[in-house]
Amino acid sequence: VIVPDTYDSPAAYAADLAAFLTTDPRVEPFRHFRPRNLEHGAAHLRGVQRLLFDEGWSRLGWPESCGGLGGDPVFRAAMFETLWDLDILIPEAYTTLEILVPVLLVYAPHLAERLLPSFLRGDEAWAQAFSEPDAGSDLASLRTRMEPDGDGWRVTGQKVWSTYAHLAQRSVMLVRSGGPGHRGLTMVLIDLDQPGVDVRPIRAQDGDNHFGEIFLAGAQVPSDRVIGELGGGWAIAMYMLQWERGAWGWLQQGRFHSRLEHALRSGRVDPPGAAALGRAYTATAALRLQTRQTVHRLAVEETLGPEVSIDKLLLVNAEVAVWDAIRHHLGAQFETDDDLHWLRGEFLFSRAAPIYGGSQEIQRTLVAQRVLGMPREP
Amino acid sequence: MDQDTRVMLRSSLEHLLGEDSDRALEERLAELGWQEVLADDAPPALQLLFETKGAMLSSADALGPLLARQVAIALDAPELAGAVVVLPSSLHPGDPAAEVDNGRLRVAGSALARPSDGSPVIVPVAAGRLAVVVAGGGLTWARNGGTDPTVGVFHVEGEVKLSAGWWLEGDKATAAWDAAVTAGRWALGAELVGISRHVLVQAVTYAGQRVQYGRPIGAFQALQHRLASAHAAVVGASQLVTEAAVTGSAWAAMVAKAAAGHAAEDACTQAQQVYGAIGFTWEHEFHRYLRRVYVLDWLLGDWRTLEFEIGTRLQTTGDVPRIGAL
Repeated sequence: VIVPDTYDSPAAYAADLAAFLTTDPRVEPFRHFRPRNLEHGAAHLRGVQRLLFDEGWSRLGWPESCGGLGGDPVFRAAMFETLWDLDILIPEAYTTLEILVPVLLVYAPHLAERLLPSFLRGDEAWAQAFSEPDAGSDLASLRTRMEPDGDGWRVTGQKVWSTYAHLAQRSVMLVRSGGPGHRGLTMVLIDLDQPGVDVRPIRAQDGDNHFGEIFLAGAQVPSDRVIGELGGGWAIAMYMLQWERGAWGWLQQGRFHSRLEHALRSGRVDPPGAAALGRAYTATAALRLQTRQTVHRLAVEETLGPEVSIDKLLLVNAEVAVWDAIRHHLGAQFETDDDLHWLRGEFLFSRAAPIYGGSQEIQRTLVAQRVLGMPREP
Repeated sequence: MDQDTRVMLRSSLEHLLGEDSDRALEERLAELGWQEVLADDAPPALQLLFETKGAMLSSADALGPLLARQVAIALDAPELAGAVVVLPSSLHPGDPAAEVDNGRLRVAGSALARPSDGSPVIVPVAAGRLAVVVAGGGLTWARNGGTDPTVGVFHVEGEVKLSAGWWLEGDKATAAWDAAVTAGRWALGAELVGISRHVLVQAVTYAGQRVQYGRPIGAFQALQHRLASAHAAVVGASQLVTEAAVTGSAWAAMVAKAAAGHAAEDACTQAQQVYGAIGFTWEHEFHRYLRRVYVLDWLLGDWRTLEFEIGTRLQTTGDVPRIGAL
């Protein structure tokens, strides 16, 4: 296991990690790996998640209280960059970790120590469940109810668009414990592998089961599974979103750079596509620098507030532009080559960029009203 | 540079740029102790100068001296620090401002100042060569009105005999010109960011005051989304400008100028729509910022040219550089 104090900079850590990833034979099955489908990918990549945990690489940058080795959280960002650069797919769990673990560390330290190590190692998968059929952008109108039951609680209702829910054993869920509006919401950690919970995958337009529906009929939530305070769910959701919009963006720009490289390998010069490609690259470079700043700010526990919506808007610009440019550049190969199934999948997924994690419209409204100070609608 | 220093410096620069003075900006900056500021930490200071200049729509020439200084430093020729630099008039950034014919230099370019007789003029020539000629006979300097008459772009034309010793070629000349273009690009990027921020703040203010249908028009989502989207692009461009200024990378500077030019044009388009008819009047300040954006975008390569150039280089090399280390 690596010794945390060895590294005085993310670059030093990244160099050693790259050496490990390129020389250790156990990494071989993960380099240049392309999954047949999402489930195949999730099952296979659990292997790399375990390996990186057991060797300590993925534990650097997480506090010891959750199974980490301590150290600057920026090391986590360095790990993502190194993985992309060596063409190793990043397990979906890492993005979920980036969003859920900080929340547990702050709002439910009693759960963090007990439950997070197996999440970090990939022994367990977790999902985030906020949206409902009638509560998408208008999240505060959600209706899934939490009722007292003895010492604990029971939850009844329906969640939807929960990423990787059908592969998860636990879910961080936003539910209604009180009256209407955002003051009546509470965040809980709920076991999905219990009677009273039914999870059904939803197939997305790329053919993969990216997300699922969660049906809850009196599912149990022990009293110690409440995250933060009763009725304090909205503030926690907002805290969570700064990670979802910031750390996620850094992770994604690494993928965009790597995919551009893949598409441009042929060295074919294509004047009709040059301008759009230049624009896509420029948007990706801007995303990289903006999210680098966010990663550093989150690492020193700054509260970011509504300006993280700028990161999401830059992500949308970059993601859509990059994949449009790649599709154009590869031309016939993109449309017909069966070996590029995985790349087409990523392209089709990019169409969701202006929708997932708070739509582009929601982000623009947040930036206008809460960053630029424009008036709220009457 | 810490936040307090930045605020103080910005306020000094605002005061200085707001003065009604005939004296050259460089001279007035010197009185501010600018040399010490640059010696301490030049990139953020210069970025702040250009951003403030953009926001205030100052027409003082800061770009010309910056380009000359870069050439002087790269060539270790302090006598060139006060030279006037002739820029290629062509939109294509690699193009020369002159060609050589039978030992004579035929110049057709643009400059941001007119040199006094006898002072040095730096002229980029094809294939990475630089010529230094003496202002006086041979070259004519015609001040253009152009899109933004307040900028003072001179059309430089004519033929001069090349004198020995003032003709530079090879890696050193290429590096000197590259250094000038690199600094010029991120500096122009900073100025464009300064303009964009000003234009957006003004549009937000106007939208909060103008009432239609019984509410400020800024409460309408259609206008909010225009300005929010433009703001995000300006933030992204500003990140690129900062990175290019700190690293001095030619690639980052090209990307930064492309992003800043594109973002500035977009910010103006959105602001214009928010202003409606009043913003289309001569009396309103808006068109002066719009004109300035067009001229600054054109200098050292407009965003359309640069985006094409960036894309072509990515295609040709197959290399996708990561700008900025973690």
